[in-house]
Amino acid sequence: MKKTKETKNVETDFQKMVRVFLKSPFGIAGGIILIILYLMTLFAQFISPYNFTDLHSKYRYLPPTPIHWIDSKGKFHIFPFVYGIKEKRNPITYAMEYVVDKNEIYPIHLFVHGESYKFLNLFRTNVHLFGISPKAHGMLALFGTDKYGRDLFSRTIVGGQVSMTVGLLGIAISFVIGIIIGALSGFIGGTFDLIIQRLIEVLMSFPTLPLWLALSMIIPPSWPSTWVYFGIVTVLSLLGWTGLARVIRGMTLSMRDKDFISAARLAGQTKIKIIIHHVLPNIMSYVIVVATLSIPGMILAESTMSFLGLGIKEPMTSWGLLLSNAESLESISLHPWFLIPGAFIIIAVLSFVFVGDALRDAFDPYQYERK
Amino acid sequence: MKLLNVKNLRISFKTSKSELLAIDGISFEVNKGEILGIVGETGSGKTITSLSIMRLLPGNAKVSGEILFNNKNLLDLSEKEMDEIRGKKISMIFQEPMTAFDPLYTIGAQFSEVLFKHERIRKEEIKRRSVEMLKLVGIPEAEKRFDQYPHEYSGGMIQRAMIALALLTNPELVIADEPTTGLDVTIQMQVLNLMKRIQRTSNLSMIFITHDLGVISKMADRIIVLYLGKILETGNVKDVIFSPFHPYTQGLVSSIPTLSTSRTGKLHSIPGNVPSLSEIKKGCRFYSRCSQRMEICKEKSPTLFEVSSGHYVACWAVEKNRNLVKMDEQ
Amino acid sequence: MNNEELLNIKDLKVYFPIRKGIFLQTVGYIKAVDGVDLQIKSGENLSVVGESGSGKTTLGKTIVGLIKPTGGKVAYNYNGKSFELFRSVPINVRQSVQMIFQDPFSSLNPRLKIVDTLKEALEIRKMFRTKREMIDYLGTLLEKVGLKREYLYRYPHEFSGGQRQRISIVRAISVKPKFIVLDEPTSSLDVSVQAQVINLLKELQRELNLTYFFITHNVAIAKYIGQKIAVMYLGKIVEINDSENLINSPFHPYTRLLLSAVVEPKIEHEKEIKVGGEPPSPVNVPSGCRFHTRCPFAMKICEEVEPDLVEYGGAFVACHLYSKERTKQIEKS
Ligand SMILES: Nc1ncnc2c1ncn2[C@@H]1O[C@H](COP(=O)(O)OP(=O)(O)OP(=O)(O)O)[C@@H](O)[C@H]1O
Ligand SMILES: Nc1ncnc2c1ncn2[C@@H]1O[C@H](COP(=O)(O)OP(=O)(O)OP(=O)(O)O)[C@@H](O)[C@H]1O
Ligand SMILES: [Mg+2]
Ligand SMILES: [Mg+2]
Repeated sequence: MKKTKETKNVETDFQKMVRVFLKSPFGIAGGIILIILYLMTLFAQFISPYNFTDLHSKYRYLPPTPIHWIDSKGKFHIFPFVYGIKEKRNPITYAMEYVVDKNEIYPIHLFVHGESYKFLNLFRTNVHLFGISPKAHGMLALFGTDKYGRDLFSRTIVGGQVSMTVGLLGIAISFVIGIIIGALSGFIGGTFDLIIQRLIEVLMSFPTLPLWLALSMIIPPSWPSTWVYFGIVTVLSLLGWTGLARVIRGMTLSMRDKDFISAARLAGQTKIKIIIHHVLPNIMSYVIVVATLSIPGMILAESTMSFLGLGIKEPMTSWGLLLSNAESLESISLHPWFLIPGAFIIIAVLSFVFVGDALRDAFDPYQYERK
Repeated sequence: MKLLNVKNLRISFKTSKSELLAIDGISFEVNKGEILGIVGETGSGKTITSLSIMRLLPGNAKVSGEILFNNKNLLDLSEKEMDEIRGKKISMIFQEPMTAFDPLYTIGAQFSEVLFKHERIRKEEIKRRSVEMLKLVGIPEAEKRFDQYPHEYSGGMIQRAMIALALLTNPELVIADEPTTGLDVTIQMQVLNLMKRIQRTSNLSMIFITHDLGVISKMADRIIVLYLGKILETGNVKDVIFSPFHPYTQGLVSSIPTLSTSRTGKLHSIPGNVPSLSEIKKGCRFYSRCSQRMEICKEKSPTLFEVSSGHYVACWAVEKNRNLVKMDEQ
Repeated sequence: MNNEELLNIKDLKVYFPIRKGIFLQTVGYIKAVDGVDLQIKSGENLSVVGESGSGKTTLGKTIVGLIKPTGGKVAYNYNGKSFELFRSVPINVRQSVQMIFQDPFSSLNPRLKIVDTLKEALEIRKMFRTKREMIDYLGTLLEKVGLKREYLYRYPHEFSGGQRQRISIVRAISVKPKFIVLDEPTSSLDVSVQAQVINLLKELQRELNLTYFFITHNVAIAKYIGQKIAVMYLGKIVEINDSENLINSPFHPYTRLLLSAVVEPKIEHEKEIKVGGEPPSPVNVPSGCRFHTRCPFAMKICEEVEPDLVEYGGAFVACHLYSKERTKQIEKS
């Protein structure tokens, strides 16, 4: 009887972490946003009403189309709708302008048949989550269109596939490199450590931008876009492991003098096994926090590179590349909707930061000590 | 004369699971010019007792009873009135001096802050008094040291500075919570000597908290033996340590190896561990480890009764033996 | 008991470099252990006392091979062969020397169940054919130190300091060692628990035929455990003697100072014992005798010449007060 009582009283580390994490409103919000963003990228083609590469030459530079419930005659519609669009030349500037044709009403339907695509790369379908009839004289362009008339909403959603995964993949690779080099450097110490540390410092002291530029130059322009994507991931992780390795080395150093490590050495345990069994499990939580907090850097890095035209290239897309539409002030003032992908970058980065911070609190060593 | 009179003090903590009664109705007093020692093992409630006098307990603590300081109940005072007393009339010496000093400010700046807050005197006067106090506690080159940062002090020196800080405002009562735990014996001896000397010369009242019976026998006039928030025995230091009545005190005293302990015998020891507060049931709190436990101990918590003048014990077994003796005499 | 020599320590030095600057140049050394000579016989417990920073832990860790000596040698005899433990040695030699650490909260891996911590050494040694046998063996050992078998499946944070220290003891004795370094194993425990652990250690020593190198700063415990006591000051041993003799008739002024500073429950405490100064830092070790800055008997020679550990009245003492001949010699020249 006593035993059950005791086991009940003891909260496992994991439960404790979850409890502390759930106390942070920012962490929860960030977590939920990230889940939504990742679901969005997973089902990107399905969610987007148009294919992200399809050109609609009739509707270039179309501003975001407003959605209505009540038509010009004051009648209420159950399904929201958009008005049709007509092209007209401005009699003064001679520029082509779009005018709303209030006589044509196109209701927005769920599961409409539109342009065909491959669902999750598995099978071909033309069902989209929502949209208007493909025969309509107009477009459902929630975020407007670009200079080729491509739907920016669809492009943003699909662009998220690159932007949101580049950080994860990049960090996964940096993580492995960082752990191996950091743990060995910290545990072996001595000259090996000294050399590794200097190497890291040299790498870190280069300004990152030119380094990215230089490395991304190596990626041949003729590569197919998926190769380019992995090329970018490689570039990012080749430069990103240094920070992680430093943190891991520092923590390994502080673990190395712990008495339980000494005891393992006295038991005759090998260095590699000590690192795997004793050092890594004890520093993993911090490493995860640091890793989470370095994902935003990677996202920003990809955006920067793509923005500068050195990363993801057309016809593939990413938030950074989309943002490059808004490269001049003139372009921004004429087409302010080009900035929307930037908002996605900011939201994703902030969410990662919030989640990382909340995780750090949840893993806080002091909370552990205090029963 | 009673300077501090604590009556039926109870301290409980609200935790996520339950409410823990950490101090269970203790009463004691500190007379003018006296050192009261409090001994007890980990978790006995020494620190929270002193924090409750300073009104420094964390928010989840509930305190009841009376803490009369110069006949004023400290528990009734407003936060502002308490500010006047804390650090001025009652001051504290902590075990970890490094946590008492802010590493970003010089020792001098921290002394000045305290003096200025309570006495509003001029800068030169502040420095004069601080340096004088540093000299009193035996810090060499006190003028130079005044402008140094805490980390530039050695372990023994920072402990002295802590004592100087506590004495700066001429307090009436000083509470010292394990002031020498963790210090080397030679430095501990210096600090103890210093505290005793200052206490004697300025007729200070002091509460001296420790778990070291040797230290307490050197420092205190009267002592309280605390166990899991209950007073088990109290009286003059000589009575309690050299003729203890409570099985716990007896066990404690005889379990300490001394220089004259024989190498061949076995050390006396109290079985078991100190239970945690959440494991405590009704009855005597020492029940689970007691060598003389009886049926009643499990049911009813014993109260203090006087075994000789000024020497009180809370133990059913002792009380029973006493009564038997008395009956025999009749 | 058998009086074969277990350890022979010759002029042992352990210096920790102090590094500064971008290239981490060595700007000085912390001389944690600075010339220690010591012989330990099998079955003869040695206690080491000294103030904080005197190098006790460093000496202990160097003896078991956790730290590589900067200079000198620690020779460990195992079945007639001599080994240096910081090098790679056969597993049975390695495991025959164990250490029990001071801080019960850092000596067990918080992520591992007790059973996983305890089985590590046994699995390396392949001491058992089946898992059942091993668990049974560990359970028996836990019971031997006064814990329960079920504790095998719990995590360290479920135990008190005293219980953790017992688990560390099980880990050390499970590999059937000959020699154990104990680094203040009771200093973080409560008084009432301390006595239990000391009794247990003494019992195990007798029963398992162990030799202890017992580090403490409590002279009373040092005497209770050790046949001999060595007094350390700033990285050097200043006096070694049988524990009774060392306490009853200390020679070195530092030993006397240390003994006079012991506070025990007594009725009459000496009015005020003069205990001057604090130990200097091991970075700037004083010239000559390293104790001369605090010594009430310091002479001129003490500032200049470092005294050797010489035999005097049954003890070994490093103090010019007891090396008259040397003094004369030096004064002549
Ligand atoms: N903020 C708190 N919340 C819950 N329980 C607390 C809190 N502070 C103290 N306690 C409990 O109150 C009891 C007494 O604690 P206290 O710190 O006074 O012990 P102590 O006698 O000073 O011990 P030590 O010798 O370890 O300093 C302990 O069981 C402790 O766990
Ligand atoms: N790994 C290390 N790197 C640098 N300096 C060290 C290291 N370990 C110990 N020292 C230094 O060596 C000196 C001796 O330390 P050691 O821990 O051996 O002393 P000790 O006698 O065990 O003290 P204590 O009683 O406080 O445990 C100290 O000045 C300490 O700061
Ligand atoms: Mg306390
Ligand atoms: Mg030590």
